[in-house]
Amino acid sequence: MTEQKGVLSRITNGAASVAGTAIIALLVIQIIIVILRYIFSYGISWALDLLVYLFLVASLLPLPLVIWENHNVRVDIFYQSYRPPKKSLLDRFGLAFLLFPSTGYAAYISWGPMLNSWRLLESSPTLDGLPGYFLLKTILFTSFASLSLLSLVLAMKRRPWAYPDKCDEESS
Amino acid sequence: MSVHAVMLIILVICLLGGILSGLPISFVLIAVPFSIAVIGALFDVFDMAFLAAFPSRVFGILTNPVIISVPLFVLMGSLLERSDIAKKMMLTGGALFGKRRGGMAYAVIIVGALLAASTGVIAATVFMMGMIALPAMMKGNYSNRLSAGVICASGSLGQIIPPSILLILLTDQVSTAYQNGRRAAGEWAADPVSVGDLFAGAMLPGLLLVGLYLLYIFIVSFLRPESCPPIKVSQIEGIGDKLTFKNVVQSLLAPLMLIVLVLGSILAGVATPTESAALGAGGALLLVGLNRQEISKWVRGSYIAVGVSALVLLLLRLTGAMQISGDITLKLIVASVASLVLICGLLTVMYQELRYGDLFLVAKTTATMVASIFMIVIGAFMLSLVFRGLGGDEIVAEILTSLPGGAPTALFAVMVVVFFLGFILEYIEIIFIVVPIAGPPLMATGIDPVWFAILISLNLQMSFMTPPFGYSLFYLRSVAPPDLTTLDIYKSIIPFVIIQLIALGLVAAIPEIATWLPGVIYK
Repeated sequence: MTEQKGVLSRITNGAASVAGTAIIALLVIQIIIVILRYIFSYGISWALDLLVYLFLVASLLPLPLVIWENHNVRVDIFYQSYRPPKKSLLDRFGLAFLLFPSTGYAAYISWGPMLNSWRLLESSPTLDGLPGYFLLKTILFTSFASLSLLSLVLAMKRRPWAYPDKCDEESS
Repeated sequence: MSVHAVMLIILVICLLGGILSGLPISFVLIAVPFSIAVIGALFDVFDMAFLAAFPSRVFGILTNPVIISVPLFVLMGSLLERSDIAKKMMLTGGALFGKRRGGMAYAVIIVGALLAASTGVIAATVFMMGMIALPAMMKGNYSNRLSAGVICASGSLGQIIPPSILLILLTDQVSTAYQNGRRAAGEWAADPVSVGDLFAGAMLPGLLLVGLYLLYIFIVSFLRPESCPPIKVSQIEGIGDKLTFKNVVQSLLAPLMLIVLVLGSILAGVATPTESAALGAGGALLLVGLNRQEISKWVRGSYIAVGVSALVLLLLRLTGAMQISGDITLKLIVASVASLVLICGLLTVMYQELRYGDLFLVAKTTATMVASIFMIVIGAFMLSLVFRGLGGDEIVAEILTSLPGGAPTALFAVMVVVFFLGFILEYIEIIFIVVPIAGPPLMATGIDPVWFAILISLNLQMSFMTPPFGYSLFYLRSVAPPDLTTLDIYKSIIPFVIIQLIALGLVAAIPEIATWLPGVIYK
């Protein structure tokens, strides 16, 4: 179990690191585009597409990490007073019966559009756009699928997340 | 009552229950509507085909060029947050104004407004003020309530003063709602609403709010001078008695230049928000680099060269752009050299900050933050699809149009709903749930989209200040000393929420406060 956690930690963190790199690339490329466009009146037709691609990578790839490391936003007015056993029970319920089926279904309905996109080897709908639109749809499908799988894995753990709580000592 | 109406009521109850249970909001938003849809499908009252649009809706927002500026603005804010600029501004502001009655409170408001226009990160602003201004005010015998209230209120200004993430997300939703609404009213070629429109529209209301806060402090300092006595500069920890002209210029000039660069280029209609955000983030990175102590003379020189060449490029641009394929002129050579210097310098600062600083961590955190925003947006899409599938939008439109008094009452009703939703939900959910549902029928009656958007954002700003889920209050609580009780913080915010309501009322009564500036700039 610990080894599995190690692997998943590495994968989710790795994906988020790729996203971080995409953010830095987004910054550099946008600045270069600005200079070319405003100083040298040189526009590149696929520049916007490139930014969109990077943006999609940057905003989808960290999703597994958000779930895995529990960066979730909660309204914790009652939750903060729960003891860890109750917290983990609630979270396991949420993961297994809420997040798992809904993201699973989202993956299921994204599968068809993704296959279609691959069949056409779809490229960006803008004029002179970049190829490889099907890859973006693959990322979307993969995100939903990995969220679904992760929620199942987390739900099977006795403590999905470490609860930084004073009363957590008894849980050893 | 129809089956659909019953299911809608169950949906709303389950959503509220789920959110209050403490489960992650994103889980609840995506899964509760989905479960209701499945149950509805089992009893043949919901058509799962409604959900087929879900992947393309999510894909649509992820490939929307307007939204690309969000990560860059978040990056810019996080970089500035790490560069100690905010801290220096607060210290200088406190030293500048602190000596007069109510001075420290004025300083908090003005620095809050400046930070809102540059970083816009509410958590960081409130943390910083809670750690620097609050102790100074408490030591200087300010009333606890006044200090806490002014910090929470000024810290929340980032939502309304552009550039703000809220306004960018709102642009897309309001623009769609406006076009749908006008189409329903028979007008087929309604102009889209741009981020620039909303930024320009939010300028005056934002300044109005700042003005009202300052006025409030002014009145308090006359009625209850004992609550905000003058503070000696030496009581502000971190600053000596020395307040030199050079200090002031250094701590205020750099952020002011960034503000002018970013807001100026958007409001002048020159650059797109994404372009301005990239320039702003680049500038912020440079400031972080310059702030590092242990850099060599050469590296520092290259950073300064970036600033100089940026200025050169700006001047060249003002004399007209040139063609890369045209004749080789002196101007073209100068521009090329300056561009090269600028890009090389930026790559240097990037390399330095990746190697010795924590730029990579900041970028990764930025991406994670954007992803968690999207997790909630994705949930809100699922909710609005199911809501539509159950005929909820028609019911809402019917209620809104059947209200006595027409458009003004309908708008008022929506504002009241948003205000109360703000107590338990975050702004992202409200934008992506309420605007698509309530927006089109309101727009169909001819309500101005910019005015509507600004009213919504003024309203949403209050959600940061209203307990139990006011984020500014949370942030202040986590850094404030224990002798400032939570109840004190809750009570402290009341006058500022009232001021906010007054501002909302003023903009509602005089729409020109919001619509005049975009009209002047973009028409």
